Amino acid sequence: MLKRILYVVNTTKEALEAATFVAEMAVIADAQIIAFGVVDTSAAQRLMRATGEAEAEIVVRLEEDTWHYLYDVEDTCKGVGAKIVLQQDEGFPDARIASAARKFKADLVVLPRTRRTGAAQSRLEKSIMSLIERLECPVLVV
Amino acid sequence: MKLSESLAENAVEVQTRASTKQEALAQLVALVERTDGFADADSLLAEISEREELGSTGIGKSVAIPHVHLENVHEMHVAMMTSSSGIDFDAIDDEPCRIFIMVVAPDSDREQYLTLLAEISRLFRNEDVRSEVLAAQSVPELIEVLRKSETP
Repeated sequence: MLKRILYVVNTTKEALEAATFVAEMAVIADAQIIAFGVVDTSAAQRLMRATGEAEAEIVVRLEEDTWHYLYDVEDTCKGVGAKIVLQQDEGFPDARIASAARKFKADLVVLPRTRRTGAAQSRLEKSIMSLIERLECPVLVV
Repeated sequence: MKLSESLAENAVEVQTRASTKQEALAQLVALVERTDGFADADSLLAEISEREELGSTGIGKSVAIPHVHLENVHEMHVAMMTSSSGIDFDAIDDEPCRIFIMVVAPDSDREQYLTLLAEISRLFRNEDVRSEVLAAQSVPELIEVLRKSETP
């Protein structure tokens, strides 16, 4: 039985599009969505090296962007009457997602499909594989 | 839009006497009602309570941000209160909430609404900010803490 769905929200439009699907699935299953955003500290360091911007400023921006997307997803879910709570954490995404799935006893982890290319795509695939190995529940990529 | 700029002093309460989730929501609605141009407290309490039934707006770390956007509201209304003893708000981390910010926005201004919610949520992830806010003994002191903690 599906009681808790951990929906990993990233800052892409694909994450917002997938929210409708997750919300409808939660309503049908009478499950609660835990919309979960991770501020990727390794991405902040890459951005710092690439732009010269201070890491603290980058992290503040990433945090606000992540919350913005979380509240946007919440609004979509609320629109169809899905039960939802929001959570944010920071660190390495696969480790934080696995930890949240355990902490909140998620029955399913949903990841939004993101269209990336080159090194970014390779990092994403590696991250998903690492996540699947760490999780005890199924993973759905929408 | 910064939280400190959105808050009127009469919409802030330091160390509330509310002790339950329903009392806390009612008190926040009463604070919103004191702000200019807000008239419909009954429907706000109903909307906010309905939202809480879909899941607590307690985001963990003692912070709750009840929020709603409404058709019949024409500008942003924000209220804030603190609780020294903490209130069970069904937060996801099971911890009692001590800092409460209510945001009521017009349907027509969704982008500003999401941006303000994001900024508030980010601000209160900071432990120093939470400690200083909870240590504030007066409304002006609390607003001053917010002002100096917000990013320029």
